[in-house]
Amino acid sequence: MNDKKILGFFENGQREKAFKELYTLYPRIEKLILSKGGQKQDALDVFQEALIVLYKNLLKSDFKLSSSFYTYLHSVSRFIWSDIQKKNKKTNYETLHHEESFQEYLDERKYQFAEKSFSELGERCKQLLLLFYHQKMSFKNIAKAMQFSSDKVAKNQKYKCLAKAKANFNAIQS
Amino acid sequence: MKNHIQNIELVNQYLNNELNNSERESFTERLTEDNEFKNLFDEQSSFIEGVKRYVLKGEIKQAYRTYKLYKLLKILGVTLLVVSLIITFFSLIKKSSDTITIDKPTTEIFSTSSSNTVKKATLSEATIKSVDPIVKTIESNTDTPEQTSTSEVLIVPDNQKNTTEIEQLYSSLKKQPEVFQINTAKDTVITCKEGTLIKIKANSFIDSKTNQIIKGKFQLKVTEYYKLSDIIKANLTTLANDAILETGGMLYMEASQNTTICQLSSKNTLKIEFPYEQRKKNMKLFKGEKDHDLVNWKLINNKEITPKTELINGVLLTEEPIIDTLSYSFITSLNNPLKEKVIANDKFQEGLDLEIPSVKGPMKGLKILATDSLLVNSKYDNKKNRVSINKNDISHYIFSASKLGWINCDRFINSKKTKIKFKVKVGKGADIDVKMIFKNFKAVLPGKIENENYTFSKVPIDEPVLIYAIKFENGQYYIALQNTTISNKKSPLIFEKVSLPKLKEKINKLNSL
Repeated sequence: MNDKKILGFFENGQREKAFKELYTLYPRIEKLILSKGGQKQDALDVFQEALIVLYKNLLKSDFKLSSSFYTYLHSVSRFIWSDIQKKNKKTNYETLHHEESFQEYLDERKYQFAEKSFSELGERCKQLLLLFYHQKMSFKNIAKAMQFSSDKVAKNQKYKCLAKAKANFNAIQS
Repeated sequence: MKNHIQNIELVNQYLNNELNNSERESFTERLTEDNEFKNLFDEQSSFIEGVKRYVLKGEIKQAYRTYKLYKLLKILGVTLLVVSLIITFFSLIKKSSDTITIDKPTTEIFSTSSSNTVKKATLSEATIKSVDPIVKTIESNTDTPEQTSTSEVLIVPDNQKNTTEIEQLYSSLKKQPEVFQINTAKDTVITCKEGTLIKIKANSFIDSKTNQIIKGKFQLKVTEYYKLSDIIKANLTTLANDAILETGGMLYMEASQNTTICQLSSKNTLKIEFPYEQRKKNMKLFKGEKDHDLVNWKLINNKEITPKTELINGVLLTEEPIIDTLSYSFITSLNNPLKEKVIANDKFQEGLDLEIPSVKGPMKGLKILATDSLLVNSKYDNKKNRVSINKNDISHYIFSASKLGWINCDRFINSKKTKIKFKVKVGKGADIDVKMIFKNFKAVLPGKIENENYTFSKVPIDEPVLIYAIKFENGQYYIALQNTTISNKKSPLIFEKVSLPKLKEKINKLNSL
């Protein structure tokens, strides 16, 4: 349960294990969010986002974790929650400038729309795109896995899915 | 469209570092120049990041589920542990409230007795109240001293009612005591007719008036009540407030020297051993006190005696017989060869082969038992031959008593059955006595009169009993003996006329219940 162990998991690519261990820090952060006017679901969402931010930062080679995972997550969560509250106009804009600004989070906000448009795709599209972008499979292998007649068919399908995602994205924006 | 697709492919290649240096250079240049291309690039990048997020979220959600599962398992594990601990705890408590059952005797002989505490369920001990001496000054009719001296405890004190015919009958039927002459100079053990043992220490009695230790000889009168007929004839019952007692025997004792009443001195106790044929658990000592018209038994002692033991030369010696464990007790005499007796609890162990160590010569410093230890299971003579067990070699409950008077060895009947009030219809009649005799255990309850019924409160339902009633009407005795089971139905009694001798005979027959 210590930070070193968790770091080790990340380095070995055992992300799920790392996140599971990080969840042991969740109760205290839940308390924090609840004390700042949030509900349990808010706390869960905030923590989830904080984990994503943490992970994205860890990927960066220039990132150094100066404090414990807990302290970091705590700060990130606080920041995220303030930001959400600001958006919902449910808070007095008090301490925002005191908070450490997490650029990563701000960047992530941009990607949230893209994520949403992706998640709204049908299962086949999602699978195809995941195989391409996440697994980085060649079109040939994708065609095999998804039973397309040829790699060209797979390619075409992929672009069709992308177009759909774009359509979703535009719908969300409007 | 195809261009578009190509562009997207290009972007992907760029992002995957699949372009060579020159390609990459032209790509980055194009980004700065071609706005549309840049937009496409941004779009793609965002999209790819979106997919990454999607994947990451999936992993995080899974991790959360695993975390919750672990948390649940942890809680379940702890709960299970706590529950099992509680169960173990309770079962241990329950076990310790039963008496110890005997182990295989053989080689464990010497070790069992060293840890030989007889565990009994302990109730808080009722302290003996300092009551007026039960033994009053003997009144004029000394030929039946037990009558007057028990006037405090018997049902009818003279100053309250005119004695009815039945009460007089009981008085006349009452058992005569055994009289023992005790020499205060020595420790004495007396054995009564029905097997009660009383061990008296030297110089332990005092003059109740002067509080001086009496010297010389004095009289101890003991009446034993083990048989149902004796109990009924003495108009005794086994009730402790409103709790039913199963009796292991009742005793009445009084001491006198010439005309002075004697008591036990406050520092001394008597050791009383009630014989039994079948050992019952949780026997306790009770004292008889008069409560209105009835003798009420009050708990005075809740511990049976556990004698001290000593291991000498690998052989266990006891000061007193031990209950519940197997051990040796030595009786020695300078002249006679060593006699050994084996003590065990009520489970007669046939075929017990014990290695008796040979002990030579007199054993110095040992306490000598004045007489047999009556907790005997098997006897060996000095040649290690098994001697047959005598009928008299039965076991005893041992208690110590600090006062004379009425002493009972009883135990509470803790029936799990529902307790109800049982009614017996008697009809009219002034001179009636009704008692409830239990069939499964030795207990007698007095009936309370309520209009034309006699009632027994708080008796266990479905228990088989014998309702005993005697009536005196118009110069005639009547008796009713009704076998029944306790229920909510009222039980009518059918009396039959009897002559006095026939009545006595019927009461005596109660013993063969």
